[in-house]
Amino acid sequence: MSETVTCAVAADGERVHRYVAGTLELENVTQFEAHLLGCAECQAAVREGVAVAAALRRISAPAVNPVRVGRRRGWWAVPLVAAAALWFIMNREGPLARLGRVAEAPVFAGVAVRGDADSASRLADSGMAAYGDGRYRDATRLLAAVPAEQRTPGLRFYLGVVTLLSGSAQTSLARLAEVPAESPYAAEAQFYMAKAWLRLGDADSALARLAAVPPGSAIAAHAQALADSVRKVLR
Amino acid sequence: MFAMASMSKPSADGSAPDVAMNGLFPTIARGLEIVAVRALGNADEARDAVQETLARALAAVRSDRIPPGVALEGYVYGIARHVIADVHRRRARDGDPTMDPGALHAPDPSPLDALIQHEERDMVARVLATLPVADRELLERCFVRGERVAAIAARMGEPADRIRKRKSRALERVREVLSRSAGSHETPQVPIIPI
Repeated sequence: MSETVTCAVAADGERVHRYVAGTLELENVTQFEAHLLGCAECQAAVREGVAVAAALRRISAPAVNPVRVGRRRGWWAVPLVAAAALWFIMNREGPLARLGRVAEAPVFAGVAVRGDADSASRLADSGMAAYGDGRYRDATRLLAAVPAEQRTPGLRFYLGVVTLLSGSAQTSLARLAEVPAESPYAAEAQFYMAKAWLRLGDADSALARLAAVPPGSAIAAHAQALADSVRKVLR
Repeated sequence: MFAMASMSKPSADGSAPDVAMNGLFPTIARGLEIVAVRALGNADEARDAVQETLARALAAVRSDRIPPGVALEGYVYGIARHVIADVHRRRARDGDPTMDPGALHAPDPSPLDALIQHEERDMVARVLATLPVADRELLERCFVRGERVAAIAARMGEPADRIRKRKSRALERVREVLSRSAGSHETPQVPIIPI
């Protein structure tokens, strides 16, 4: 968006942000869009707002879709609702555990564990291929089969993450703790250890891991944001 | 209501279509992309709709069919509404149960996400993660929940002008970082990690 805004609509910004969010009334949408076609400033403001909205949705905790129940229910609905309620009680996640979710695995660049063509490397390659395919349980099994003394720092990191993605937060903590402190994966390992602690419902330990992320690291901003979210839940 | 841009309908002389093509049409085309993506929720169909709209508009300009006193962008918007409605009708005819043939505007804002690249979204997410929590909440109330500034001001107990300034400052911070990164063309060192 240009630095000097001459369009009053773009300068005010309210129609732009309500258009982006989809809350602008239909008649105002029609007027705004007719204006938008000839106004480069409003176009830039909309695109900027879309990027902000998409980014905010990305860094927010995943929303839980509400279950819609019809107006009329038959007799069969009673046991179904009761069973659903029981399932919900047994499987519900608290807000901390939701923050501990890993919604999307960190990207593997495909070069971290390639080495000699011995069996350990093949296991590692197969494990990372499974990781890339989203088959986390297979990846965990294959990566865990690489002898401990042959695990590179990168392999230790991905083994820890994939263990967490497979649902074993406690085991992932032990594996992520094996990532050497001087390796380039150390800061991210602290971040995912925090996620694991959150899955286990231990906010204090999670905050301690997040505090251990070096301020200058590339993941520091995410660690700070997650710590803010945890504190907000605790308040 | 809305201030129309100071662009009038090209005259009927031989150079008018070229003036329209070189001057106003690129701006209109970019605006049409936003409108079409929002209404159709599909980047490919939106691109086709924009092309169809521009082709019809250009034909109208060349044959001097635009009524006197009608702004070109308003005329083109009218064409776009028809083209988009045609797409909705075709979807309904083809049995797409999600489509309402009478709807021009999609109620869900997420179709607009097709306007931006994942890299841009991730870069903005990184910037937003560095903002104070209160500023992130303010931007969320604006761009995700679509609340009015007056309502946000009332909820936060601050004057509306201060809310507008805070919003502008937060957006300015996003803009600064994006413009810096656009200049450096640096690849992020780590992937964005959902929090």
